[in-house]
Amino acid sequence: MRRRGKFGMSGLPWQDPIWAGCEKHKPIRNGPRWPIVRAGTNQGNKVAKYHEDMTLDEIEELEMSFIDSDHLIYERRGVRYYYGNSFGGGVVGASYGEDTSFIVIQRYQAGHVHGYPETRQRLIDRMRKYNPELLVKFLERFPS
Amino acid sequence: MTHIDWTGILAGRGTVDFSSLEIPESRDEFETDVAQLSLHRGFFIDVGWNSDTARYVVTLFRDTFENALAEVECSTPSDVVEAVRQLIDATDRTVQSASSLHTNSSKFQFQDA
Repeated sequence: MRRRGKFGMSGLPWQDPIWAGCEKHKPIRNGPRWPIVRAGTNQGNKVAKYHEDMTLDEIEELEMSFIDSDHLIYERRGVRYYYGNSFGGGVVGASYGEDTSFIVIQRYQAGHVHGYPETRQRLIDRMRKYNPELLVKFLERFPS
Repeated sequence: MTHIDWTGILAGRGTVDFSSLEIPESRDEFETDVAQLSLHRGFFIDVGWNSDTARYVVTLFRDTFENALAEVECSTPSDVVEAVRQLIDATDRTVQSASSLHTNSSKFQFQDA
């Protein structure tokens, strides 16, 4: 019998989470000014970016802090998707051309953890599609 | 869905940073980050999903994502695997002249088969 939470669709166990880094989304050091970076997140392949003030240690701490059942949005195809937000409510990065304090964290069955900034609206859209119950709690906690 | 054995494809030439075990034929708008592979000498391969175009995007970059050396758009998971193989091989071939690759700011656009 498959034990929910410990085994994924393939029947393989979920490994302990380990941070995988964020090469694609890591802050751009000594690069364009933030407004240009932010605008770039809404162009081309729309790659979200962490803010230049975020260190990799801070990003790792942030992403690893929300791997729990309270922040689990859904599980699909061997990936669990969680949400998180900056500890003080400040901007952590940009996505789709907007500053945001929210992130999405992907935890792969093999244990790798990888996250990126996400807009509040896209988080809401994601919760509405996959976890309406969590959306209610989310809107109570983050009304605007 | 296509099962992906990145470790076998890498064959000791890098490591899997993250990836799901299988790649479906299509994804929804929220499944943007598919896989990332670390190669030697600071090279990375990112596999992303562009929901606007409904195509996979395979990017070879060095050190930072902004230093993209090649970008390949793919329609299917099998195209993704082939593109990754070609980029790994290309990196192998050019590793002796990596500095020239590194300083080439042009972005190569490959047409998938």
